[in-house]
Amino acid sequence: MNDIIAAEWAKIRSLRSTYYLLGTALLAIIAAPVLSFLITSSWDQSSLADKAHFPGADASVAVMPFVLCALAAFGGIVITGEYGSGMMRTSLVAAPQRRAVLLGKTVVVAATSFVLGQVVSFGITVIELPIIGNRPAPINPWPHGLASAAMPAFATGLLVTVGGLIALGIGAVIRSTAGMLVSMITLLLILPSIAGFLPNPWDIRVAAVLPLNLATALANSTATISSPLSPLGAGLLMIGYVVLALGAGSLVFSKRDA
Amino acid sequence: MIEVNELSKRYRDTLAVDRLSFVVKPGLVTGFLGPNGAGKSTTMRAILGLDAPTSGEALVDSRHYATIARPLHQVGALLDANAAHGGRTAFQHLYCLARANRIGRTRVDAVLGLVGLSSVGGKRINGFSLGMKQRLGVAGALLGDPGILLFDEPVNGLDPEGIHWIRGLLRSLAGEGRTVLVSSHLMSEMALTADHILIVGKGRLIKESSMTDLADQFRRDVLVRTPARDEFARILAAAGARVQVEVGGGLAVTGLGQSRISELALHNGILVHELAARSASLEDAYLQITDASVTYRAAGLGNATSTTKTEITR
Repeated sequence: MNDIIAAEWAKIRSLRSTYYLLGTALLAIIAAPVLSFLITSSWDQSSLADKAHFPGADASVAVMPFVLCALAAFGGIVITGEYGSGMMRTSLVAAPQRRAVLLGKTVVVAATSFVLGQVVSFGITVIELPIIGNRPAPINPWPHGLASAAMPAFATGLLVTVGGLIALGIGAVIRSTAGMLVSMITLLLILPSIAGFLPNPWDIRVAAVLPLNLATALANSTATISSPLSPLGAGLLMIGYVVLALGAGSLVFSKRDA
Repeated sequence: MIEVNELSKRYRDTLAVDRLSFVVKPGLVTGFLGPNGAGKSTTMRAILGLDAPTSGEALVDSRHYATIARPLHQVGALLDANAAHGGRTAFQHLYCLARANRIGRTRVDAVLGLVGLSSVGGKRINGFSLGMKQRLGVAGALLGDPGILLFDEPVNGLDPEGIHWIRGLLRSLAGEGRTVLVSSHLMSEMALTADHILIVGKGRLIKESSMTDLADQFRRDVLVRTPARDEFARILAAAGARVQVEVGGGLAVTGLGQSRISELALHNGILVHELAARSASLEDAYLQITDASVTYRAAGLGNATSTTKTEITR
């Protein structure tokens, strides 16, 4: 098993697409604080009445979906890239235990997307904290500093891992890079906006269980009006998505002809 | 040793392999010959555990391929030279395969040397010609120094020097006692490399033979037509020829050349209507054997057997 993980590691390290995707995701560490800085400067010059209506100055809400998509693309391409190039057959001749191969890919994608998700998420938070300073709520989303910022940062980073693993599972089922990307963008970005068109209360209920909104629900200490899910419920749903996608992927990957 | 027992493979409504059984023995180059679409590649994929058989089984060293832990040490295969990610360098590509089988970087460098790609080991596969990719595929097959080797159409895309090289390689691998299975749709290629031949068509085994038996079976003779048939037959037999009377009344003569037969006819005052050397080349033999089982045929060209007279010298 260690040899298979090492081989999968060697595979992702030897492709330029890995560096492009992870590199662009890392740009978010700079992009989000820049946005945050722009919001706080605008806040400083606003009237007292306007200040009360400012959104929180944490730009990761806007930037992390991009990181999520980049890592989902990475996770999916780990398997669809092999089908696209024909490498899959060559790979499976060298390592014919299919479940072990998919497990190896899962380990590599999980580790990479966990490290990258957490580095980006915490990186943004750590840089944004001094930018926002001790401005009051609502522009300051973290009135208690890092103590109140840590859990949201962890949850947002964890969602990146969840996205990468869902994409790996979907990639194993669909086998095509284009199909995998469309499915992932639909699941991560399109469905949440479609949910918004549903009649109340289904708009909130459906939106709450979609992957994109699970990070907020996981970080909240209690269920809120915007997310009726408890942190435990959100955590279980994250696991559920990953198990479902990888379970389906494993079934198809081990049964179907390569 | 490769054993294929009653192997069948169905894709939706096409039966690609139909109860195919054969054994590939060590120490010989076994040619796996058949027209396009005969089921050669499917059979090889089944042997390597890539495609699951509909029924029957394919075993390597009495095991199912997928149960071998580090299979490259036992089996090496070149299926499709293009089945590599073009973004990796030749070295990286081989290293990815090697790593899963606990094979080190030194061996990767060594096989790159064996196939003559040392100088381009650090170059991306994207820029490789088909011939270079074939060499890379061969390098991948040799990584684990395996006792069993499968090559699917290895000469495709190779230049004459490369073809010469691969023939020598196949011969020497078999000479070292390894089991070598090589597929081709060209008899001429097999005639130069294979010791044993498996001919398939429409997924079935049509013929299994040693190369020498096959060559003998489709012998070369001289057709003689003469009104004095029986008299000339005696004369030819006396001169040491083997003579058979054919259905159409002609004499099939073996053991004497055209010029000697015509001299005998002149000296004995025999009138000869026709005197024609017939060479059933291995190519003809192959076409005769596979004619009924061609899957894809160009329309309107008629029977390929009657129009092809290319002679193959072994």
